[in-house]
Amino acid sequence: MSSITLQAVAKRFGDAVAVDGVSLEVAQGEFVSLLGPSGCGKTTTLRMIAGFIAPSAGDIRFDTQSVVGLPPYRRNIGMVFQSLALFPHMSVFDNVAYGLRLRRVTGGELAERVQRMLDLVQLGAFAWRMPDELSGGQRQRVAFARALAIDPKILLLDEPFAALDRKLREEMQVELRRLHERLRITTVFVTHDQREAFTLSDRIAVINHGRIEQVGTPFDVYYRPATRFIADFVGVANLLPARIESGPQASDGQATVVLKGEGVTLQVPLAGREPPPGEGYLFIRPEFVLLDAQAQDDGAALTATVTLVRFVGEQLETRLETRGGNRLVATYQGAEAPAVETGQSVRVRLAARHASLLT
Amino acid sequence: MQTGNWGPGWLRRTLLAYPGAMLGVLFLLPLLSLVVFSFYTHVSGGGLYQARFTWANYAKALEPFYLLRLWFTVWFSALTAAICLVLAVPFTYVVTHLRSRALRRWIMGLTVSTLWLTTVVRAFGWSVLFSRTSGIGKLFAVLGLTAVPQSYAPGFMATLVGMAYIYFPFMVLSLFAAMREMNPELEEASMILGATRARTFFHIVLPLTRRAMATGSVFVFLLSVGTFIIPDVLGSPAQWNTSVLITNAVAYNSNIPFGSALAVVMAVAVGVPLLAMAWFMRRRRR
Repeated sequence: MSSITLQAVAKRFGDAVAVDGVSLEVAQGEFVSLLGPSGCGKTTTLRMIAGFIAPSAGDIRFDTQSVVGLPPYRRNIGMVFQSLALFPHMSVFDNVAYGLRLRRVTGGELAERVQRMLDLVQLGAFAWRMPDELSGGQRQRVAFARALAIDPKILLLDEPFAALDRKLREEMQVELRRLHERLRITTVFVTHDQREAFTLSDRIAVINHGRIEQVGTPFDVYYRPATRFIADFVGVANLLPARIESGPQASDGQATVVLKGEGVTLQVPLAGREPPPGEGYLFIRPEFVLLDAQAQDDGAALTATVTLVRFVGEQLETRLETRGGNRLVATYQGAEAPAVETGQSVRVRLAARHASLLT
Repeated sequence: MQTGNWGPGWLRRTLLAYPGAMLGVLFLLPLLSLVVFSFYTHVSGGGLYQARFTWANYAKALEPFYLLRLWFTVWFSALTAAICLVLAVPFTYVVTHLRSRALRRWIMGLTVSTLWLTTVVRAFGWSVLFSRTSGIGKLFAVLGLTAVPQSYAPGFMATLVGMAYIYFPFMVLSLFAAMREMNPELEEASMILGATRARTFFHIVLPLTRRAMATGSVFVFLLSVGTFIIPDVLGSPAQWNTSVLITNAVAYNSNIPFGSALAVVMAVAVGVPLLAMAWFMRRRRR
């Protein structure tokens, strides 16, 4: 296993800047996701780690050694591609054996190591099938077996589940998580799907416009996003324009926040990276927006009109428009949902201890 | 999308008559008349032919001289296809792997645009280049390869170069689509697993473009068999293929029945092995 260090890595294609000074450390055995919208530079970053393209600036190191200029075939990386890229003219066995044969593994040892890999992904009986005789999930596993067969120091995954339907995709995610817990191989995973990143990652690096906007645990990124972009990208975000007043309470670790146009003042806990007093936004996830039909007008509850009630499976989603003209989304576990209907006026409480402040 | 639902039955049947008619008019009828004419009797002295059955045309077409020319036609065309293949595979590989789209388009455009000048013009162009007083002969003499400028046309080398030059674009076109459509991640997968570019080329790119290489080769082979312009312009009688002999029989000796018999013999000699090859390749894919 190796650690990976990206130091101010940049990539320009002509005038276009694809990656704009990315610095990131991936520890030995860690699973880090690069999460961002399409075209944000996450795949370009991965391809620079793989060695398919050279950075225009900056340094990439595996452990302490710079790999800039080292061709991909000398980096000892396992990689699973978006298209899987199984060699269609080779059997499952030959696909998995490809990298081993290039490392001069032959005969009994080759057969044994290929078989061990196929057993690992539960395809032991499929060695002599051709790729087009396999199901989507089986092909996926062959791709992982092929990548892992060479005992790579690093595993790179480029949206490997993109081609699968949702159910199979979730199964594969669980399997990958188990595999990683067992092998503890340093892994960089590229995805635009935040749920996928949450399930799999130790840490997530959110990338936008070629820059990392935040690196943190899935929990951090979801509940304590560093920017409004992240708040919005990794889930449904309620963002309310607010005036941040560090009142007398600031010393007890809380900021006083006035929601504009709502006549509501809240105490929001400080986590240390809040914007300074002034104009900003209050951010809160829909699961902490509470509908309360009976609430009194006590200066802490907002008044809003229900604009839509929508059942989305495991949750009931309510859309609201507040008196101050803000739009809110509130979600509940289906069974606990208060009975409200479109057009109804309701009181809304924000669970302020789960809120945070953004510029 | 639903298919077969775009019109009433009678309309579909009527439209089907179009490809049927084209096939009949353009392929079956000429082939049939060719076979019929090959059994007619030639009338010497400008009378062309008589509708009287004879084996004489085939007896002559199967004489050792003509069989030898047929053998030459086959191996010379195969050699042309092989040379085109060997030149076009790396050429197309490099062009399809160019980063610059503009450059790729320019190169492909220039390659295809050579087809714009007719074969006759290009063949005469080469005959000038290969002559003693200009171009290649002088160049070789200046480089010291030959003592004095030599003439290479008409001759074997001139004919072979001319053929390869004329049919090279056809081979490139056959390969281009296959190499262009190949998933680039396949080559990347090979390289990340430890294969150099060269190894990747031989283990991944070549096997996956095998079918296009076969198609292109058959294509060029058949075009070479059928050409009479290049051997006629750039070759001496030793490089004449059966197509030249057919042209001579029909155009210069007005002997349509004999020309037809030669054509039928050539079609069988070339077609039977090709069909066998196609059948063999199909079976192996199963």
